[in-house]
Amino acid sequence: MRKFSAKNIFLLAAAILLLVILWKLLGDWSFPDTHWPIEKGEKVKLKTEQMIVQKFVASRDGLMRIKVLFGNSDIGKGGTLEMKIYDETCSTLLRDSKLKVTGLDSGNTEDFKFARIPDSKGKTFCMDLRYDGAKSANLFLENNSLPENKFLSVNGQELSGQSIAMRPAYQNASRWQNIRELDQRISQYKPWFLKGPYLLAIVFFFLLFTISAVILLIIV
Amino acid sequence: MRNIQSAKDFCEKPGFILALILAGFFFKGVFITTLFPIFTGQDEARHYNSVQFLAEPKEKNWPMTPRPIVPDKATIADYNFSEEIREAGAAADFDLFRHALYDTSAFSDSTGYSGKNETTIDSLSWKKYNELSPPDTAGKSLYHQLASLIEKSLDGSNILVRFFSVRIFSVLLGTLAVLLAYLIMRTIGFLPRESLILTAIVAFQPKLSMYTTNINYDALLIPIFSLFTWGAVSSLKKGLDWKNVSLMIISITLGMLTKGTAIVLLAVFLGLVGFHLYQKIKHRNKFLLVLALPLLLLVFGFLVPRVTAYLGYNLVALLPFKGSLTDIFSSLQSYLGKSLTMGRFALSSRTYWGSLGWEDNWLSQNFTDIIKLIEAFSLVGLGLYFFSKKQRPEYLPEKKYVLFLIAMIVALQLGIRLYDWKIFIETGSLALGTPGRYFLPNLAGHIILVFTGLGMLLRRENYFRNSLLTGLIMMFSFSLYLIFNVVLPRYYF
Repeated sequence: MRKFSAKNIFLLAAAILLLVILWKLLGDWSFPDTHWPIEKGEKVKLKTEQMIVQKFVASRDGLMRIKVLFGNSDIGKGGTLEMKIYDETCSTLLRDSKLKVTGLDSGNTEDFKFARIPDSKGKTFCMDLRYDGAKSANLFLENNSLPENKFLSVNGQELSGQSIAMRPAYQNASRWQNIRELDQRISQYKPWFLKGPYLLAIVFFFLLFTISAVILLIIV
Repeated sequence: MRNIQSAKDFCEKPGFILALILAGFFFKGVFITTLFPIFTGQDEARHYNSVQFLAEPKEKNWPMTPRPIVPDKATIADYNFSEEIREAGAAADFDLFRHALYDTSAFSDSTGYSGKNETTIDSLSWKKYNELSPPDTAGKSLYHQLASLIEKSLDGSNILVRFFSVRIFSVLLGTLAVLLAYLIMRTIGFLPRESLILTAIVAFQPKLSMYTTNINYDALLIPIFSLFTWGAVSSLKKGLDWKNVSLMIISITLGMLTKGTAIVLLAVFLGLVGFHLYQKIKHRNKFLLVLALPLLLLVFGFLVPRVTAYLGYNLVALLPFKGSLTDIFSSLQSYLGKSLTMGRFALSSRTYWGSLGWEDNWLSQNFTDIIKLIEAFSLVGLGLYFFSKKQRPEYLPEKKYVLFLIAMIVALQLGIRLYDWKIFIETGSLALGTPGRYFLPNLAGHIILVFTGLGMLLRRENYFRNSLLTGLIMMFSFSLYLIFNVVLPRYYF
């Protein structure tokens, strides 16, 4: 009986960890618009009580995440970054996303996630970004001639033809469409035998064999 | 009913579970191969250029253009690679994501499963031979020569087909390393089930999977180390015989044809032969012992340098001992002062387990600390294993095997650090370094040692099994975490 319950505990632990990984993957599963430039351009500081306003047009339906590249920031014990997404007139709040950060460096982006906006295509959104904490968070500015880049103001000063280093990311309406788009992205610049259905088969067999092996090792 | 029972019996057979582990490792490797865009492995474009260089026609009847190799290269075009590598790399956006963790390929929504420049890559319009002199290569190792056979056999295909086929060849080599890990576990006395769990832990170690998807000679060096270890532990089990001596000599030869690191195997082999000789004659005649010593010295002093020179190594030139004793000590002090730092140890550790620097979260920051804690407990267990009067539990391997695995780890550490020191003397900086991947050839031994220490502390077989299963679930989930929550989002989300 004791042996039986130990096996169940291991199976349960493996299942929970798998679900956590899947849950995180599903949370990240959106596709950034790679037309938006994301480079280390000119740095600007964002202090408490200041804000950055960026207006942009969504190129697809399903806006659900904004990736922002921050610069190395001396933010002491950390603080909170808050992104609010309004309608075009910056008056109606649509979405809100907060990130508690203990450090910011220029090595990677921070993701502001929010509930999917289903009918976002072609609409202009007004995004405001604030930082609440000690010292300041640094952001990068880019020269951005994309028609989707509509307006940028940094601490009240309008900067035309520029945007912050960011990428809007979109999620499809169905899981299957998301799987298909991810399959397409991974398939690009790959040989025929690692593309499309072959790639899906590889993932299937990888998960089938590894999960079966783990289950058998626990229960046998 | 009988059919169900026989299917259940079949599924429980060690051979079936081992096949699942190997197949799982292989498909995991092929998937990771696909996740990493072209040339994103360690020095991968350079290694692939070596493969192309070796696949070139013997008669090089094309003009060479001199272009010095510059230290700081901004784009792939700055490297002395073949035109095909430079152009295909640029076309596949390699310069975008090469150094920038935050950037990805510029995906095309309109072209579906093909990148926007894939038609150009498919057109085979670029020269796939080196015309820039000197070509930027990583040598002519056995790995590169084997890979060049794949390159030649796929001559009419585009670079994506050839490049990713060579990557899959590396995955096959990694799969071989996992199989050899199982054979090592069985040989040193673990029961089949424990051996399978330990093998699965090795197979799920994320860095092993990631590194053996690269085009890199280490993909061959890792199974060669495992082959040598298998031969060596077999000799400890049954004494020297033609089979295990052949395994060791073959692995040393193949290893030295692959990478200089394999010189370490030669040193261990000589030590092992000395140990066996000592065991044979220690109870017989002291006179024989006195005769054996000069014989060993003769082998060390005469035969070994000649054999290594034949394989392309000058042992004396590889050693960092140059100048007076004072110079050597001063250089050693300076080297140790710079290399034995907490920061460098942490970096080695992070790069041994996987892509831990890619995400800034709790798990990435603390994973190696968790491992260190487990290893600290294990060290206490190993201390007990060697020095306490308590009897060794039967489910753990005998001391001779554990001592041998420790010797392998010490030898590889010393070998890598000696070479790092030599490069430090030549360049004045830690240009080589000690990244974690250099220590992967001893991964199976490392895992065995960790769980032997824990097994000694736990004292009961079922507790030991539970610790193995805990390790298995940790490594399995960590491996999937790095694949699905770190690598995949980094390149595609």
